[in-house]
Amino acid sequence: MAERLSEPILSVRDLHVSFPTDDGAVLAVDGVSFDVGENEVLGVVGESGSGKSVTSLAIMGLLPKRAVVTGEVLFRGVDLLTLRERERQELRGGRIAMVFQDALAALNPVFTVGHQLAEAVRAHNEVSRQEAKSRSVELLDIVGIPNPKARHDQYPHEFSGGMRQRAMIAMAIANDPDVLIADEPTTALDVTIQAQVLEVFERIQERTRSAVILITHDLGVVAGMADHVLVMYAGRAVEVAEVDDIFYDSKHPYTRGLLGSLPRVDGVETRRLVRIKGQPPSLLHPPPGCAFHPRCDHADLPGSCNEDRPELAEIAPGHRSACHFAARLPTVEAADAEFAPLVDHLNAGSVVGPPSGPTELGPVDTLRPPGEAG
Amino acid sequence: MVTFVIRRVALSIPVLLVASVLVFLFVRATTDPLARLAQVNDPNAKTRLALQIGLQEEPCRPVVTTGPDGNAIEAKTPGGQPVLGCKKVPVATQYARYMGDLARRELPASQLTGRPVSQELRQALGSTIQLIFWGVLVAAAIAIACGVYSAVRQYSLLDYAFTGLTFVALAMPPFWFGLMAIQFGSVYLRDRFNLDDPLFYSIGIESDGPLSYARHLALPVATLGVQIIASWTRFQRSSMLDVMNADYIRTAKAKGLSRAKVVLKHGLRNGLIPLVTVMAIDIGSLFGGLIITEQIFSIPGMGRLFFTSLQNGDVNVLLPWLLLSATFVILFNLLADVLYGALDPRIRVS
Ligand SMILES: Nc1ncnc2c1ncn2[C@@H]1O[C@H](COP(=O)(O)OP(=O)(O)O)[C@@H](O)[C@H]1O
Ligand SMILES: [Mg+2]
Repeated sequence: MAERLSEPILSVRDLHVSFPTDDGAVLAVDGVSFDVGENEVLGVVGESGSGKSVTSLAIMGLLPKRAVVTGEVLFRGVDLLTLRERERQELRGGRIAMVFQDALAALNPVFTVGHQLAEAVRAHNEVSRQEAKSRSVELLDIVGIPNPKARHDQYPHEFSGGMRQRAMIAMAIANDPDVLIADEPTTALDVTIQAQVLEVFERIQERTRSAVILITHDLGVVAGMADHVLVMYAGRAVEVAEVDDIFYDSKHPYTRGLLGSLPRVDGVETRRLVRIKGQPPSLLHPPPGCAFHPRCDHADLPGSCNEDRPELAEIAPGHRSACHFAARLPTVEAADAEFAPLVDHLNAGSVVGPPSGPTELGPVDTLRPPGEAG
Repeated sequence: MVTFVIRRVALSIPVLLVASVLVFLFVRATTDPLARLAQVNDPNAKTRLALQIGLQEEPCRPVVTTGPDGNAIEAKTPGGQPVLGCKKVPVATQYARYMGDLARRELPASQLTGRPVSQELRQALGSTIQLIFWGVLVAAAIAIACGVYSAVRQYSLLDYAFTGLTFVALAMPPFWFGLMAIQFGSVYLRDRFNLDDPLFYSIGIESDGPLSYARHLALPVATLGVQIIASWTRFQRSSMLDVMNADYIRTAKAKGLSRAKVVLKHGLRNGLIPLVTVMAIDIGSLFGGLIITEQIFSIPGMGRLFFTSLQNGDVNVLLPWLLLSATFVILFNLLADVLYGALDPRIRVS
């Protein structure tokens, strides 16, 4: 994030969140920092369990009381973590709003959608019931719900999945927030509906010019919307870069793994369609050194990867990666070329989507930096 | 909503019919309404009662027995009248006729008091309804408050205290609690403070003025309330815990609503749905279920009426009593369904 046009609205500095359990502390977020400015979209990606939701809840101040949160969450220079509950409540839904993943569960089943929208309006504005109602009808219209007047008085279960998510978005933008956090807003939806909801998002974002944190485990979602991307793994930021650099010049094996599991819809299968091998690590007993090393094709073992934890370091202007080999990874094109025969084979066969067989398909050594090959 | 209610009402009619058949068969099979005449000298007394109740019907003929010499002789009463024997009525016919009488409001009178059973039942119901009304009001208020507090402050000191108390209350038999309540509320307090009257009365609910009414009702209401409060508190706590972990509660907080609004509006409105239905079902069974409490406090309610009728073999009262109690159970189950539909919009449509 070299040339930033505006001052960041939200800055997260060295955020740590841990949950005490009987077996010890679960470190769900471990030293995450990022900035988002006005009219900027930060994509946050990572497998499930990497700490994306916990990060967003920490910003909102919605974590359970037992969670231990340290670091700074600066909103226009004020550290939210030092505010009193009353002051945070005022920001919540006002200046900082959030869209949740499962809209059916996130909407109260016993109140009409319109009532819940109007409630959001009235929580931060001294307006009459009537004014709040016309505002919420307007909000439903903005997010593209047809016949908003009639829909206003319906219950969440009478909405389709896509419309519920639109209603959630309407609720979040009710007070023109400066920061909008969307935690997997399209994960529960069909692909076609996903695209529509994302479109609404883009439209809204252009309109409100708010800073958006778009959380997803799907890099495809991020590609079309984000300006910058933060890749999380086991509670840590492992790569931060502009969106194009993530897609075409990633400097972290984990990000490349995520890219590898992304099916291309344009039909040009130039990348290996493979999942990252193994399971995400335990946050209770994280692996020593780089948390990704047990799953990494490039790891130097035993050696630096399981001994030193790589820090997030700048390897190009605005591009940071937490990998000992970041500077020495082969270019993405070279890696793709390595797998071209496999991809041809996959495309020739009837296999669609990721193969279910072994995932460590390539000769690992050729991916190593020159001279490191064993 | 209207069709929903109509459907539920329609569904409960066959249930009511089946219940009435079962109650009728059960009473006919287990009680002998003629047994109380065992000591009466007149053999025709039984026949008259059997005719009155509908166990037998005309035609009646003199009973003929075989004498010591093998000749047929007419049986005679001590008064020299012929002993009459009438035709037995099949149980199915008995049931059909009884239901007809019920519909025409012509049920046979109480054998014990001679008064119409409708009058007996109406009076008893009056007392019982007062007990239930105040008991449920107090119990619901306490249970909801404690349950919500326990859920919102789970594992707090008071939560543990409420949990402990509810288990004590559930373990206490009502007759024991009732007697202890009298011993303390009526006897001990009066002696301790040298009062002319007991602070709380332990007999009946006849009263003059609201204060006296409260002093009469306090102990029976406490006795019937203790166990309901305990079970409703547990219930409210667990349903509220579920609700407070729901995603929509997090959404409500994310909107910037106050804690009170999150808990009392978004939480309680959902957390009450299961309790309200359980309450309706429980209340339905209270109409016939306060036998011990009413007995201890000499309240002329439904429970006491059942007890006296049973002791005296008063089938004319027992049968409609059971039908009425069953009706209340079914009616309040119906109410539970309807309330559930009214409170949860998702049920209304499907
Ligand atoms: N309330 C909680 N108590 C204990 N652990 C939690 C809690 N919430 C989240 N975690 C843990 O934090 C880690 C990160 O979770 P989360 O942020 O939800 O991941 P995701 O990236 O899928 O959103 C997970 O391992 C999860 O088990
Ligand atoms: Mg998540």
